[in-house]
Amino acid sequence: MKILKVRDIHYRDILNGVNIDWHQGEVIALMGANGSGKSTLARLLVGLTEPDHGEISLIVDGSPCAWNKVKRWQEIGLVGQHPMRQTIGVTVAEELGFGLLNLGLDTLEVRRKVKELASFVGLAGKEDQSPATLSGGERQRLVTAAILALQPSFLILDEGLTMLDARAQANVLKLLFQARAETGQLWITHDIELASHADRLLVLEHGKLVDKGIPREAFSSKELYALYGPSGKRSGHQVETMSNERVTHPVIESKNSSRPVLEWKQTNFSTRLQLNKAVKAGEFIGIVGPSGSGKTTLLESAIGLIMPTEGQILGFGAPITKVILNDWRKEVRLVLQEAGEYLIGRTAYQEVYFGEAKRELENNRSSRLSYLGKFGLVGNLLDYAPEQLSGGERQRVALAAALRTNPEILLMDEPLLGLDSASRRRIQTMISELKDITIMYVTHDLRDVLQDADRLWLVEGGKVVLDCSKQCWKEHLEQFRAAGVRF
Amino acid sequence: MTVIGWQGLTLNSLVLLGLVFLSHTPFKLYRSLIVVMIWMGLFYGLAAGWVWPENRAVWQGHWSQEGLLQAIIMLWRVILVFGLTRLFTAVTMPLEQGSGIAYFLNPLIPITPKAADFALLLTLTLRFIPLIIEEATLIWKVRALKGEWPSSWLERSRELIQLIVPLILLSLRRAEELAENLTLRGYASGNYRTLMMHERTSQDRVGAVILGCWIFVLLVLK
Repeated sequence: MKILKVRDIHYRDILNGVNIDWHQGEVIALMGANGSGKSTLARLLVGLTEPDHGEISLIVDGSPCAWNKVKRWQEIGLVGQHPMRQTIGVTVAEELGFGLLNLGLDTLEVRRKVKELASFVGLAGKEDQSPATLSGGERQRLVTAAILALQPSFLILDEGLTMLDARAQANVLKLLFQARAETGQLWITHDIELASHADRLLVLEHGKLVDKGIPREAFSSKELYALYGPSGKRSGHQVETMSNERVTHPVIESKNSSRPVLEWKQTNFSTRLQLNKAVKAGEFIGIVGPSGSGKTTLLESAIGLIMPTEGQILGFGAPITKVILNDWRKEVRLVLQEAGEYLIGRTAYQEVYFGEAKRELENNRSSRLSYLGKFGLVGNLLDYAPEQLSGGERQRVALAAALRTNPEILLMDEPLLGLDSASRRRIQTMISELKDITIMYVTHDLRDVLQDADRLWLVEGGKVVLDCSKQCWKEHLEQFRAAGVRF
Repeated sequence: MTVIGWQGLTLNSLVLLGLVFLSHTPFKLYRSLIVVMIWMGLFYGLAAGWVWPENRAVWQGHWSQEGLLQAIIMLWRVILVFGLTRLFTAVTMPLEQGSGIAYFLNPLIPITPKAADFALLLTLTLRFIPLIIEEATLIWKVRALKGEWPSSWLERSRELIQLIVPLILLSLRRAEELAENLTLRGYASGNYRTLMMHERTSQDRVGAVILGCWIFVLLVLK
């Protein structure tokens, strides 16, 4: 039995005396706000960063081991959030065998183990394929299996399941549960459902770890649930009783609300997407579906990032062609997935008003403060470089940039991805308060859109296979579940 | 070894044609060779075929039959190299190329760990390129979504430079992530070994024998 003892760890002003005893075989859920230091703690534990002060030690069967002599990569594995950015190998086999070869195992032995592992994670026959050809869920399973193959005594999942749909998440969880007996696991997450599966809940607050005990019991406390749980607005039960508060924009009304603002007429986008749908002015369409089903492609088609190979897209009744794309993009705005990662302005303020000359930016600044304030972008925050902002702040900057031209259609691709509960709630409230605008909102979690959506589209295999009103979503519960949609 | 005789070149050309047929690659892939042929032909034709006596001006020279023949041989060789390279890149994915290079470097690893580092460097570089292209596409998309490009060239180039900064930052971040992933899987300098899943088959052995015979015939024919 191994125990990882962490004592009085300090790191810059992020961690301020962290203590923890982590036992082999124990599953711990670690929660906390964006920027609270969860990932920093994970990096310290695996040895990617050294603490300013404090001690980490490994106890094996009651005897302490010198930490500087422990092969940390062998003892503690780390699985990150992005399946795409964690693969090393040229092929699936090399990915699975890379660590094993580094352990010094014989090539024949590694080949045998790789075959076993590939079949164990459902990738048998794909050993010679590039990891890039796998879906996000398959890649995450591959990386998790490659780390677990090293038989680490401890495993950290830093939001390792966030980007996965329900089906893919269940598959990775199955892998983790199988390794539970011999591996201590630390799940860094914002998802209380996932956290509920853990043995113990730790919360990182003000640079210190607070032990909240058994997660299910801890979440029964209203205070903790309010802090880390989803907002009440996300509950599907409340949706049925709520009235539709969204108001139609007068401008949109004047463009004839009975006519669709956006229409795909028998469109084909190579083999990626086939659509024959229309969106009316002021509608809120929640688009759900499993990873790789074509949700993002659908939004890209709406803004003209990809053009149809067959059929036509109409915007306000007129065909959208390359000639009118610049004008069309003034009416339609897209908030990309992980928009906060791709801010190209030098500062938050310049990002929102990208493209303006320096003088224009300076002269108009004071008159724009009230608009920026609505997004919580105030004071010095406006002059921060994007990389200095937290995840939630960056997402708000992206939203402010998308809305500053008063677009008539807003397209959003997983705008709450990777955000903590407070940031999620704040951004969700902002989205709910958006009146006078047509919204298409992509997510793999139905709860994100149940509050506001007028209609729900289920996308599978590049097609909208279900189009229903939010009132009757429960009639299609099984279809959503089978598609791997979270709810 | 340099093949300079017409017999060797003919044999190589037949082999190339045979490989092109076997690979089922479309002929349009080799269209670019025509442009190469014209330009290189002109260059070699002039460089080797046009001769002039000593102490006389260039335009006072004449075409030499021997020089033109030499030019044809040189052009033939260049076309063969281009053709084989085109065929190789058409049927082998960049990642497989990296893996292949790393595999051939394997015997050198016991002599120097630098060979392992170099092999890993090659495979990672080849793996990193698509990742960076993906990031660049995203940055480009983000810019495209922010509205029209400015009309003046000066403004346009200023914006382009502005886009390079976030791309460099993202590339550095991705490179750091890759390095961290290597550390987390226990990589240390000189450790890298490629993992070929397949045992050598009879097809591989037949291929090696054919390759050996071909090299022997070329040595004889030159």
